[in-house]
This record gives sequence, structure tokens and C-alpha cells, in this order.
Amino acid sequence: MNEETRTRIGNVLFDVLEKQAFLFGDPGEAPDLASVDGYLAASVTFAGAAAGRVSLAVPASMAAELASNILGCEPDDPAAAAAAEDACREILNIVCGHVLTELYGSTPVFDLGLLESGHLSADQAPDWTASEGGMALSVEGSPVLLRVEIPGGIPPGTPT
Amino acid sequence: MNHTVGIAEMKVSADPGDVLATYALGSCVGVSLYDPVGRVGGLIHCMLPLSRIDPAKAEKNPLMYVDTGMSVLLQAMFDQGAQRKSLVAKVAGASRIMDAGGVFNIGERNYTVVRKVLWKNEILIAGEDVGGSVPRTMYLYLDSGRTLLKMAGEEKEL
Amino acid sequence: MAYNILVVDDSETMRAVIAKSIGLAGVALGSLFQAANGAEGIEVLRREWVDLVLADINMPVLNGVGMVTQMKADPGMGDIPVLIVSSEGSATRLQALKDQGVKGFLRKPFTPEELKKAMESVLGAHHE
Repeated sequence: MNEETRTRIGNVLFDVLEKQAFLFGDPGEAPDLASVDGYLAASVTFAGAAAGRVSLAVPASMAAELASNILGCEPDDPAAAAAAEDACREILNIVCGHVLTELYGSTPVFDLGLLESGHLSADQAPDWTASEGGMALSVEGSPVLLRVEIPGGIPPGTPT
Repeated sequence: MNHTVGIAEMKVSADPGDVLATYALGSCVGVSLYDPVGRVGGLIHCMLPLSRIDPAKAEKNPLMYVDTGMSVLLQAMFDQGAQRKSLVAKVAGASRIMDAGGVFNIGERNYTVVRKVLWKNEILIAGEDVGGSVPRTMYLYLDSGRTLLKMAGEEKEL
Repeated sequence: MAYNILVVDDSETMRAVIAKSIGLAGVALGSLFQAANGAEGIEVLRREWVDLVLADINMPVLNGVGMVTQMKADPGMGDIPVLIVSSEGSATRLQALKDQGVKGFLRKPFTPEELKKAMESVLGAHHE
């Protein structure tokens, strides 16, 4: 994946997080991936004009804030903690839809697979982001990981 | 009576004869709140999105930041008898004008934090004119809740 | 009149956001029903009187496209207006849904004000 595509995909995540969850991304380098206690990770496959998978990993410590912002409740509200994993999954679902439009435009039709989610330890994070299509971004001073895997290759440039 | 709300200031009033005005909203954001039942209104002019960049400054003047400023404004409205459910919110400013640090997205972030606070407080935005690059002046008429915008020689009701 | 609204989305968080937004939109609300996929949504529609359906597309068991297809094939529910609330960005798929009779589309992420506007445009000028 070239730098320009990485920036575009990173900006898709930033836009989604800002609009739905009121969290701000920073274009600068991501903070130390091991600076957090572990991540909530979610992934979804897609098939259609191209096939692949989009994954997102959010620090466990940020997931409840993500949920409370989306729901509009206090961060210490039990509802926020209970919704943390579901909130990450839903953000991934939204990001996936927008990444596909960003890469392929609005003509092709994609079918998404079922969402999967689980935990990713801080030790696993560097390998996760170093693999093809992986990136680490900075959101509100914390690392957020995004990976777009397309075995057939990512189309260059913005679709017309 | 006319009251001017300066940068990082607010004014709340229940006097139907009052008109609150704030001038030259650039990347700053102006928010008016009005309770048409109790006829209580308030206007704030915030500069920056989040107080956590300088908690000491925010303690000195919480109105400078959208997050702390909006909390103070809402509390002042409730203290004057406004009901959360009746509040009509209007938003202006948040232009894409470069700030002193050469950052372009201050306006956008100011607007996002306004939305965050209002969502948490269960208030929808009833009218807005944000973004772009024009400076705006915002007026709130306490007799009716009418919110008027003036920008580049043009007038507009929000 | 008051509207009975069904929200179909596999994310409980998103259903809560949509429910809160509906509450703030000033739409006269009768009952608010929720379903976690298209099949559950169809179940609710068989059982309850519903005036408006807000449905996601990507869901397990039966997705939004399958749900709309089943609704349109059923004379008892074919006329209920559907507003799609989804991250779907394919104009081709949206056109196909429109051709099936879907009344509106709101792309995630959305603001509560955008949801209000989309619901008003689907319900027309009848709401209070």
C-alpha cells in the first residue's frame, strides 16, 4: 500500500470517529503501541468487485470512551462499559463501508461477511500493524490500529 | 438593552428587552440557547475545542473552551429556570480560518465538541451556519428567541 | 397521529443511538420496536402494527436487502415505508433498493439532526 493510499484510508477512520464518536485523530506518528494494556479488535470480510478484510483495534482503555461518546452518556456509566465491544464492531462496520467507497468508488457492490471481535495483546500489536495493509494511527493521543488486507492488491489512486 | 458577548465570554438573560450579540466569529464558535417557555436565553463565544490542552487556563476561564464553556452556559440557563427539554440550540462560526499556530481544523473541532455536548445533553441543533471562511456576527433576541446572523453584508435567520 | 417505528440493526449501540435520536426528533412516537436482524424484523412486522422501518443492510441471519425483499413480497407489509440507515456506499445497491420501493437512505456515520430530516422526508409532512 503506498503512502497516499494509507493517508486516505487513515482519514476515512478519522472522519468516522469524529462524526460518530466525537474523537479526534492526529495526522502525526502513532504513540507507542505497547503504551496501552491491550486492544479490542474487530474484523470483517468483504467480497464482490474485490475480496479482502478490514480490521480495527482500539485500546481497551479507549473503547468505553468510544461507546460513551457514541451513546452520549457519562464515561463511567455502566452502559458505556457494556457497549464497548459492540461500539468497536459498529465503528469497524462503518469504516469498512467507507474504505470500500474510498478505494473502489460508488459503482461496485460489496457483500460484507459477519463481524468478528476479540482481544489483541499489546505485544501482538507491532506485528499486526507491520503486516501488509496494517497501520497505526494516533487518536486522542492513543494508538488505534487499522488494517486493510486485499490479496489482489489495492487499486492505485482515487476512483472516478 | 444590548449586551456584547466578547471572546471567551457568555451572557444569560431572562429580560425580554435584551438582545445579546457576539462579533467576529471566525474559527471560534457561537452557540445560542433559548427556552421559549421560560423565555430564558444565553449566548456563548468559545475559542478552542477542549479544555484538557490547558487545564490551568480552563480553570481560570472555562468559557474559552467549548467543553467547559458549554457546561457553564447550560448550568447558568438551568439556574435561571430553563428546562432542558425546551432548549432550542443554534450554532454559528467554526470557520476554516487558520489559527495562530497555522492549524486549519480548529473551527471544525469546535463544532464537533458543540455537537458532543449537545448530544450528551439530549439537545438537537435547530439551526446552524458553520464552516466556510467568512466571519460571522450572531444576535439572540430574548423576546422571541430569534437568532440572527450577519456576515459579509448579508443577514440570515437561523 | 403517533407512529410505531421499528429499528433493525445488529448493533445494540446503534439501535440505542437511533432510538435516542428518534426521541429527540419531535416525531410523535407510539411504540418503538427493535430487532437485531432482518428475520427478527420480519417477525415484529407480522406481530405488530408498524408505520416506519429503519433498517441496516449488513446484518447476520437476514440482511437488510433480504428483509426488504421479503417485505415487498408480503401484501401485509409491502407498503410500510423503509428508511435504510447503513454505511453502504454503493449507488448501484441503493438504486436497486429504491427500485424495490425503499423510501430513503441515510449513510452512517450520521448526526441526530440528519436522522430527523431523513425521517421527516420519509414520513412526509404528516408528523407533528
